[in-house]
Amino acid sequence: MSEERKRLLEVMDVTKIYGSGRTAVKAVDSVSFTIGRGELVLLMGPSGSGKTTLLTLISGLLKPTSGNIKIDGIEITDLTQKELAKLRLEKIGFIFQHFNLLTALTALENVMVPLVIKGVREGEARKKAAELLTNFGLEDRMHHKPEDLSGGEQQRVAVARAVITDPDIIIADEPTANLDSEKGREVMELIHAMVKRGKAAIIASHDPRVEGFADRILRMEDGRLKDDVHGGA
Amino acid sequence: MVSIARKNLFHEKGRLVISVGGVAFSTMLIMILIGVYYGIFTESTMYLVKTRADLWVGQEGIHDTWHTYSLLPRGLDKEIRQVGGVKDVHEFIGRAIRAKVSKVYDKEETIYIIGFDTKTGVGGPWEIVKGKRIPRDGQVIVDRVFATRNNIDIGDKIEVGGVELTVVGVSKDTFVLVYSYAFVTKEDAEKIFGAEDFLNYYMVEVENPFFAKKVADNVKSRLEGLGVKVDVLTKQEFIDNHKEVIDESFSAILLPLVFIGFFIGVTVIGLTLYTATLEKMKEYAILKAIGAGEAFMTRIVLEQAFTIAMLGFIAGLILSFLAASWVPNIAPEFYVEINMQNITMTFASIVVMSLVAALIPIRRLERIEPATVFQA
Repeated sequence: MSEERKRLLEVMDVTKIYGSGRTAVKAVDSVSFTIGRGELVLLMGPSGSGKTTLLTLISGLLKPTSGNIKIDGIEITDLTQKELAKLRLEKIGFIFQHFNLLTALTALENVMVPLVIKGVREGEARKKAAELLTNFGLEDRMHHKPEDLSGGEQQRVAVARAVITDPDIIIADEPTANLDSEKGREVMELIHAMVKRGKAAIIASHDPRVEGFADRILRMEDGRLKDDVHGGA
Repeated sequence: MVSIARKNLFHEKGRLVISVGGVAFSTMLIMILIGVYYGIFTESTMYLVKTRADLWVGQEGIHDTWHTYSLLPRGLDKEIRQVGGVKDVHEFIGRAIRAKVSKVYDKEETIYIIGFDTKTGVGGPWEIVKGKRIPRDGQVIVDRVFATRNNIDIGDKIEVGGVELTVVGVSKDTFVLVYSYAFVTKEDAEKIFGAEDFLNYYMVEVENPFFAKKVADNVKSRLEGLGVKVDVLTKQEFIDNHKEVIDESFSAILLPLVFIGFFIGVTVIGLTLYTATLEKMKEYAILKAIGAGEAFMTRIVLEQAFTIAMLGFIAGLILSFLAASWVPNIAPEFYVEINMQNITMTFASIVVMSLVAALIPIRRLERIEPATVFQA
């Protein structure tokens, strides 16, 4: 594996400024770091420190004001919206604080969504989603809609949706914030297991329970990266 | 394949029912208006279709039996019979005239009196709903709409051109929107119009309708050779002329109404899709964030639009058939004709409607900011 391939995510001197002139706010200020395969990185910092903006930039959902971001060697700041959408679909899995499942779909159908977007045949998509949900202990809940699932079940469905396309990077924003300690641990174990299969994860969280799973902890403050230390994993 | 569009629609059943209902009523409105339009054509030209006449011989310059007046001398039938290919010739005496309704004596209404040969029956009514089909002198067969509107029944009397006539039959499909046909003997018609030496048209039956146009030219030549200026129209030409009159008169009224129906349909589908899009904005942002492109998002909106439109169309079609069978009971003047052309036109309108209605939600989806998925 080349050095560049090992560095799955490269963030190089990235700055994001919202607004202009006197009202300009520097949400992310000259941040640089890299994440390799098999690494689970925890992004910590107080509210307003720039964690979420950084995740948004890494996801290609926003363009940085300056700097470069590479995912698996691909410079994403130069990509078109269409290319970014394809990159997100194939290389990134998202997990959100509020689960963000589609309310009209069952758990199984929610997990199938990324494959549906990719154009995978229904039978194949259904089989793969069912297998994943079974592995996640949701075999009896897969035909229920989100409103009928507990928070922990919803987040496990969200994790399944995030990994069904076998992405290289999992980007998670406060994935345990709405879960009790047991459910939070279960979700983190799922993410940790994925990472150990050669993926990478960057997780923004205030939750100290997550620290135990992290290989590295990045601390942000006022948009700047203050610390980059080894975690408790 | 899992259809996010359909799942979204059926997840909100109340909204779906309202949307489909709106499209269904728009469909019905369009279909009934087009149906009335076709119905007017069919009913107004029914007399010409049903009457055993392949050619109509009238005074030069004739166009139709309603707006142009034809007056020809009697006796030309012998000359016409001499033309090769002519099988039979019948006289047509008829025009619109005011009639006094006896039950409400001061009330007058315009009817179109037709005097026909009661021996052959040619030119007379073809479908009777009550009473008899062939009148004698002093008797009349009136149209069902005229009878209903004036509360006239068998045995009642009306007065036309100073001649009192007893109603002996009620005919069907003899209403031409502004007035109806009434059938009397040739002799009574002569008395009513006071024109014993003249008639209005000669109706010609030909041996082979395939050669009707050729026979028409020969009839015209023969009569013009005798110094009688005539126009000879085939059945289809005469029907087309009548349709042209209807088209000129009613398109201007009915087409704006069809447009209003179309506009209501577009608005209903558009508002439904737009509010559904707004409500699911966060979910669409999630789809965009996880990698759905513009084409995928557009497909969702179009599928939602088409699903609403198709369900609405099917419901509207059923409602239209029910309405078409019910309308004549309360408004016998209206004949609603739902045919394949009508259905096809309405279907095409609904497809266009859903496309137009999907445009704004599609634009709205294009502007969704997927970065909002990280917001609480």
